[in-house]
Amino acid sequence: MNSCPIRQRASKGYYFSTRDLALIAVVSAAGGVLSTYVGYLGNLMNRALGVPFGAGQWMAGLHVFWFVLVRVLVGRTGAGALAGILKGVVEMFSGSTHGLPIVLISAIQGLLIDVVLLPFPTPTLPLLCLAGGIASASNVIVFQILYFSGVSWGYIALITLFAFLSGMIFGGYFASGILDIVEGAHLLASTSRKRRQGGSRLRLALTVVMALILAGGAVYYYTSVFQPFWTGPTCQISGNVTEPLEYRPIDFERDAITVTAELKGQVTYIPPADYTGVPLSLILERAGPKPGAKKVLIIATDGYEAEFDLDDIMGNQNVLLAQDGDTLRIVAPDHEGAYWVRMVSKILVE
Amino acid sequence: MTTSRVGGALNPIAKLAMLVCCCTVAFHLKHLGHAVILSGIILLSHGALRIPLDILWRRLRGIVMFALILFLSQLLLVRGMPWHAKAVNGGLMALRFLNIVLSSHLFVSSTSDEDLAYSLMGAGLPYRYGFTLLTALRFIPYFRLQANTVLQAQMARGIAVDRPTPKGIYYMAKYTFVPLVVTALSKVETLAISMEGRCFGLYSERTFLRRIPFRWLDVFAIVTSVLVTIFILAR
Repeated sequence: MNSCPIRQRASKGYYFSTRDLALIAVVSAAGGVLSTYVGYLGNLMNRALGVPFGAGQWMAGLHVFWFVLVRVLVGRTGAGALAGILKGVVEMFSGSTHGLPIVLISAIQGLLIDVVLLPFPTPTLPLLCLAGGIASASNVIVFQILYFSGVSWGYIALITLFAFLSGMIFGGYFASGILDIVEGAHLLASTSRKRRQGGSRLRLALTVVMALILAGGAVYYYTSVFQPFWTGPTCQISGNVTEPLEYRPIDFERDAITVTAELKGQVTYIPPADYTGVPLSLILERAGPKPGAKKVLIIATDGYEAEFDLDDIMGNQNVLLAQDGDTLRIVAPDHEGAYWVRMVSKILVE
Repeated sequence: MTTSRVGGALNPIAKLAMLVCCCTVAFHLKHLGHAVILSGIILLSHGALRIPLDILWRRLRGIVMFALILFLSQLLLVRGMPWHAKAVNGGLMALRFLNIVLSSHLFVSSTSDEDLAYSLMGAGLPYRYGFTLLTALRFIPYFRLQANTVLQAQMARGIAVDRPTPKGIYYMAKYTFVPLVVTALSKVETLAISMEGRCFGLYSERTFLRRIPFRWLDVFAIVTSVLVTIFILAR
């Protein structure tokens, strides 16, 4: 084919040759069609594990696998991004459950593969894994930017890690294996593919590293992030204390008292009513403020903060941390409404 | 492109612009009522394009179920918010998702992939890239058939490629992706030779057998969509 004048002209004048474009089109079409199926399996996985989203991220790498394949086989920067756009359009037209945003997500994934591999003309296996991992993890971030779900950042970080690992496995490791098959079987007559072969020790090392990250992620999730909803609201007490603790109303059930208080805010007014909760002084006493601690910062889930004087709080049994439905709130008699912090998530002693 | 339907009469670029505007607005809406109104408009547009409700339901029931799961997950999993706030947030999120998917479905239902590619080329997209898009879209039915055949064949051999488990994913990757990649790559050389044999890429410009007209109605649709979007975003 190299003697064909049309081909010569095409390859001279254009960044991507006709063969490159055909490769990008065909692989993107195959990827788009299979991604719809992969997405379906991901949804099944979510349902099986009882989570709204996230579990399917184990398969996220299967979406970026195609871009790595195209980028390495074409050997030109931009091939990944072009494949990303095409795969996104194919997915949209073949019934993706994401609609138009899938084009954006897919294009970003392809672009990231190009960007990561840009400085390296001969991508090695670790580089492919890194590119696959980053591109795969990007889908979680883009989805959160678009749809922000309101779930905890810990959960988002965890599913990003899942997606990254999946990208490393399927976008890097698996794609590298397929590229070996393509090369070994001479499936393409000529290829601009340039890739350093990784040794078996390197593959073994990568597997061990991924397994360790995975195990560490699971341990971290179940020890630090996972909070079953049946345990009720919680709040972290930390900062300048000897024993940082996690407050749960159930642990202080016997210490609860009832006070009558009136909320006088600049906007809100609630007439005198009875509130039952645990004195903040008692909770802080359990945490043990260190000498030198002067103030207590009450932080809400939406970032709102109110500052109390530590000595005032320790000498006042009427300031309560009370359960308010599914959340915690401060009941501060004789304080302005601004101190009645709702949706308390953290108490910081400083 | 002569059709009595307004959606069908619009140039695909105008429809694409409207879809982008609709998605932007859907992401921006913060009030449940506004999101419901947008859903109503999109559903009415489906009706205007004479897309039967039963077909719509058949295609989108999975999406509706997923939206419902999103809503319930907001109620049950999100912590630190009162129940009514969680319900509103969940409703907004579910409707945002539905509005995006429904508007995309409207676009896909009223636009042929071929028209989209030709109209983009008419608007200045280099024809080599336009035909790449067209080629990718034309391969959808082929690869769908191939993927289905491979999946059925592997399942008939007793390989669990349809299980949502780590092992199932591994099997799917190994026993479905590899045959499909081989099939895809085996098409590349033939396709490239065939295209070049027809002088594809010989000239930097080319003529088209069919052109998708871009009318004043399309200009009006784009300008109106953009203005409405800017108005909503500025509020």
